[in-house]
Amino acid sequence: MEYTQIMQKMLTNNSAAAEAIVAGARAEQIAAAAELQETRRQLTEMEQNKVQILQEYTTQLRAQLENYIRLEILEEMAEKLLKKGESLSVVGTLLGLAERVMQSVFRHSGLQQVGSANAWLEYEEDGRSGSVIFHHGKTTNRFYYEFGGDTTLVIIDIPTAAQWETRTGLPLAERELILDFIGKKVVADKAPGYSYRVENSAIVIYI
Amino acid sequence: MPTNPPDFEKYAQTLQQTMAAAIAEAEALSELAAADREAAASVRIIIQEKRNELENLAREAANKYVAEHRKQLQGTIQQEVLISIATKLLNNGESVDNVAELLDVPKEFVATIK
Repeated sequence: MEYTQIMQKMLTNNSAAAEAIVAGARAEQIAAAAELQETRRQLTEMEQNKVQILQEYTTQLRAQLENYIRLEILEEMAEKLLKKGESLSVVGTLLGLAERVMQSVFRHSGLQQVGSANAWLEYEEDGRSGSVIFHHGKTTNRFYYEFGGDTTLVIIDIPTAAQWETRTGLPLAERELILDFIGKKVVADKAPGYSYRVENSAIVIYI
Repeated sequence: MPTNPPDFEKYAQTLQQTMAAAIAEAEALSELAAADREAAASVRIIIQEKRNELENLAREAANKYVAEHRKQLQGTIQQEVLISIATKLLNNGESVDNVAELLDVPKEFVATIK
């Protein structure tokens, strides 16, 4: 009698375990079938809405491209304003450009911090002479130059220290920095391989 | 009255058969599940390919549109940008002359915004 009860209990337990195994597998199969159904639904939906999806993608991409154009325009504007002597932070705020973008514009614009302001150069060439145009913040100065002979390539006329502030409107304390900037930049832009020296009233570019 | 001993062999056979049948059913279900999952994965690949195809078509269309309308878009955006900046500068108290000089635009343009 006791054996029979034990065996019966074992049969019951065994049957429950077997059912649990099947139930687990069935649940897995139901989930997989649902996954397949859902994926097929997505495919059907995509095929039905193909035209709309295409339009949405096109609109998004067009907006992206327009944003690139906008950024190009803003960067050009930023460079222009920086070259007119506005500061990085003022221009960044005005145009809504991040500091990272402003730094990139600054690096590519040929601008350099020289003393109290950003500086850049332009050139006006007229045969064997011309002008180096020096922009420093909102101040612009033209320095006449002429080609030299022998080992001298170019002589750029500059005001002496005594004339400096009156003729340039720039602080005397920054004269040396400014003349070094001009010398280096002219060599880099126009006479790679040459050297420069600053004299009393001239910057001499020589070999 | 003596009782008959239980038939252990029959019990054992029943236990084994029950479990074997359950395992066989579970394996069959698992195979079905695996087949469904594989089919779902294939459908997902098709969806991805169709999405890529649509995206490429869209990119082509967007590029074509921008290439064809670049000048016009640049003009419109440039105008928007100038108006926005000029407005900010005017609101900051800059004069019409200063704003026009700074942005390289005619004074009339700035005056209109003001």
